Amino acid sequence: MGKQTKIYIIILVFVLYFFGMQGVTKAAVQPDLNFYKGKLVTYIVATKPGGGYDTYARLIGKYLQKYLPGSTVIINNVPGAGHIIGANTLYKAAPDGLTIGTFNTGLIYSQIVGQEGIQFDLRKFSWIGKASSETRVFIVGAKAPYRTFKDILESKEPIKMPSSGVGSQDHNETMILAYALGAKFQPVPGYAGKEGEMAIIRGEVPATIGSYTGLIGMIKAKECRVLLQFGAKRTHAGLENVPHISELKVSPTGKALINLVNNVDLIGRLTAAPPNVPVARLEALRYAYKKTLTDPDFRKEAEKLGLDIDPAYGDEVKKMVLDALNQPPENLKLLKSIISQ
Amino acid sequence: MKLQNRHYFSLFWVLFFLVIIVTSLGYSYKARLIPLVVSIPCFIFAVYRFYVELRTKEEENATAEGGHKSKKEKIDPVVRRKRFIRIILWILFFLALIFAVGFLYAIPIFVLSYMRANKESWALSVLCAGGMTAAIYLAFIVGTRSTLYEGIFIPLIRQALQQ
Amino acid sequence: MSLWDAIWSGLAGVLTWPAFGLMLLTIPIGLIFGIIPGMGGNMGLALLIPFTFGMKPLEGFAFLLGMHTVVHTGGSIPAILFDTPGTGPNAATCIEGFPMAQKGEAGRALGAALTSSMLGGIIGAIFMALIIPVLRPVVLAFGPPEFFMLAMMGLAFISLMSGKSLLKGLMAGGMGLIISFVGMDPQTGIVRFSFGLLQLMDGINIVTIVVGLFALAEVIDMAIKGGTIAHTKSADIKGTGVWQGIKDTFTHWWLVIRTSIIGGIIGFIPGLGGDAAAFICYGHALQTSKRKEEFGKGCVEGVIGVDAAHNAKEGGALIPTLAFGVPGSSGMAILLGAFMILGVSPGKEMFTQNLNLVFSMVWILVIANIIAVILCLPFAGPLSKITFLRTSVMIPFILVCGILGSYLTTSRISDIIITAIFGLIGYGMKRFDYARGPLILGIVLGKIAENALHISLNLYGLKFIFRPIAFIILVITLGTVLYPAYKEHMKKKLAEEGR
Repeated sequence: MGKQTKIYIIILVFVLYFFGMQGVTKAAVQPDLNFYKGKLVTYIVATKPGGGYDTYARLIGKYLQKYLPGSTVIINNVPGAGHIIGANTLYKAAPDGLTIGTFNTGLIYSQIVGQEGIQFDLRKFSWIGKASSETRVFIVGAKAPYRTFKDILESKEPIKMPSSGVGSQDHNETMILAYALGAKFQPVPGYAGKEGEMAIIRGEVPATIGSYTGLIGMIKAKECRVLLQFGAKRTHAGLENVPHISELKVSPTGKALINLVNNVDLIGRLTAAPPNVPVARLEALRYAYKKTLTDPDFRKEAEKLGLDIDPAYGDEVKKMVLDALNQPPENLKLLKSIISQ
Repeated sequence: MKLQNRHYFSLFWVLFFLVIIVTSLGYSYKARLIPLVVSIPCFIFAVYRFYVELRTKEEENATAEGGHKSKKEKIDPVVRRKRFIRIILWILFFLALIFAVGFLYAIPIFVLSYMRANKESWALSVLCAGGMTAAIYLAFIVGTRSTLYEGIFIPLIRQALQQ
Repeated sequence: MSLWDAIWSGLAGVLTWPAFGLMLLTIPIGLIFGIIPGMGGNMGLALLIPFTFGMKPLEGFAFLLGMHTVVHTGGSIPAILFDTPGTGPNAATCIEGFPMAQKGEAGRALGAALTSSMLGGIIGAIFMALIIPVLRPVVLAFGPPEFFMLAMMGLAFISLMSGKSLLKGLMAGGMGLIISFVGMDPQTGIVRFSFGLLQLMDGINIVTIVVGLFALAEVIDMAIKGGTIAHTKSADIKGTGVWQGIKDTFTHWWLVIRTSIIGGIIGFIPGLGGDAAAFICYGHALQTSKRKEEFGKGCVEGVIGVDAAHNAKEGGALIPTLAFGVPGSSGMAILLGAFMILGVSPGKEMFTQNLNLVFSMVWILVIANIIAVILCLPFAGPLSKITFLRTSVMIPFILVCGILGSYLTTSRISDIIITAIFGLIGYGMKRFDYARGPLILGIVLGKIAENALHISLNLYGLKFIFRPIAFIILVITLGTVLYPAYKEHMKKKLAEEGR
């Protein structure tokens, strides 16, 4: 064998060895399920008991116990400041793998705009997974004069839309979509919870955006018409002929903003752990989470409770979050200026 | 003129509304509108009341809640101040205990020491302290499987013991 | 499903096992949560909700409503015995109830409170049932302009609660309003009056303040005065016992009905927050009483009006909660979450297909109120003797319960400091004759009023005042405030002309 060939072979061997070792070390991180025997896992929920996040967490927590044998999962409600306090608490909890939590993905907007009181960095959380995708809808009251979304875009009057408050997810989304679509949305803050829907029924305001599952009561009762959907695309009852926002013609900047909104809505009911959790324990949590979300009994119970399940796991969720946050700087500046009006 | 307690209290109200007014001025128009609408008149009322208090003698105070003043037990001001400071110190003691060792230990320690300091019998004191602690333990630790605030030292001690 | 069928099948549903058993189980729990100051119904609900996971809807309702309905009933007990409200609204019971205890009339106060709570709860439930046919148009008629006017009307009652010094009452009310503004402002997204403290970012919980303002203030007062709570020697004086209190409630039956209806209406209107009901009815009882001078010194009418209202409001509050998913009171806000777990969606369906469920809830309200009072009355007599216990025993007990309860309501340990601070303020207010009721009223109504104002201005500009219902409420408010002044003026004029 010539000297040159020998050298090539040595280099090849080294290269193969190098990559081989990567594969071996990756596979070597086994989920440390034993750690959870006899341990108490705290699942922080950034809302009061009852309500969507709490219900998802309790159901998931129940099955997590099954897949982390010997463990007990308890729910700790830490409400306040639009999920910020719960997210703060989770971020600052001990990274020993015994604390996980769930909060609103809308905090992505809050972090972009530098909302007061935020003590976390969404990029640094240890992501475990997400349980569903939100379909969000733009509705108008039954009495409102708008028949299609085109009517909305062509309206000469500003369209007043109720929001829970400046800095909330619905408020931010309304502003971003208004900019992206060139629409005259005018959010009216101060409507907590379902009061916005009451305002629509009363005819006080003509339109609002919200989650499909949240508004389904109104939709089914024909108190409103759905003119547009965004987030996950669905054709459920009431959405059969409703256009999706991705079908609209918009500028490239508009498209980028709309993508952001869509992506944020796809990361529904997330679960995360504080930064720097030991890899083996994080793998255990991810493993148990995945098993939970694919467990047939879990699915059955979720269906009975009316909980939509559309999961994504581990690094996939991490990527989705990072993509949303790591926008090009001009986009971030634009977002900041839109949201902080 | 010597400032009595009631003057200090009136002054408190003046300062409170003043702080609110000053803070509100730093907010945007919408955020400061109603706070100012409320605090400016109240500040004026508070200043007026402070002025009135300075000019009136003790007996002429207006009665608000009334309550039941059966026999106006005139408590000697010196005794009153002593007892006031005592109870404040006891409350601070209780709070400090809670922050140090958490509810489950603070409660029996406080109840026991307070009752004994007030010359209750050992039997009654232990009974009350123990009874309250047991009820709380059962209701919360056992009943809801959660932990009450544990203070600063208990978790440290627990960690040290696990080492 | 016809109305008649729904009513009776609703009753039948409640009287079956296990629903009935669950209700019997949670009624005593609710009473205990109510009795222990600082703990209160909302915390109880939060603790019980996880257990409903997996229950059938009717069982879940019996379980949760059984507890929730009776909390305020229990809360009156410590309010009367040691000036320490068991729950936020019970602070109104303290105003007349505690002076009665100081006079040695604790038994009478308890009897009146319990009986009127029961009657108020029943009337509130009946009110709820009767309102169902006209539900939609009535609820829909009230929007932000009307909420603002109603809040103003509530705040106007501060003038009635201020006793002899209107200025002090206004100041207290002003402080209450400011406290309600602490936290994130939905209109601007900024955090107000938190002074950089993370613990204040979410505002200050009313229970934290009520415990300090009443319970701790009372502890300080007791420590200074020593002795016992009741200033008389014995409770065996005729006309002071529990039975007298029960009789009083029936003597004032018209007051009971009026305040129950007002309480029901306040609970019924979402956006007002039912917590104000008890205070507003206190003002009403004062206004309409033939014995105004006794108010503030322990007038049983002040107890009756208040207690009927705070139970009635729950019946009223249940309606918008069920019909629209908009909570009528703070307790209902939590219950809404429970509905989701039970698989029940509020909305039109509730009143068409599930009408029997709605009536089951009405029956639960009625039956739970009756059972609660039957359970409590035997204890009322012995309990009233507590007011003759030494303060060295009462003080640790009240202090422990109060501070623990304050922490448990919000799970924020920093709140016990806020409670302590308000204990100091509350003692100062007691000592120097500032009424505390207006402060609580300010806290309860402040943010609601401000929010409603900004929304109304946003939607309608200043013209919102002239919307029909809003304007009517404004006129009634002005009348309520100005009428007593007018009467005084006329009296003086007549006196002068008589000379």
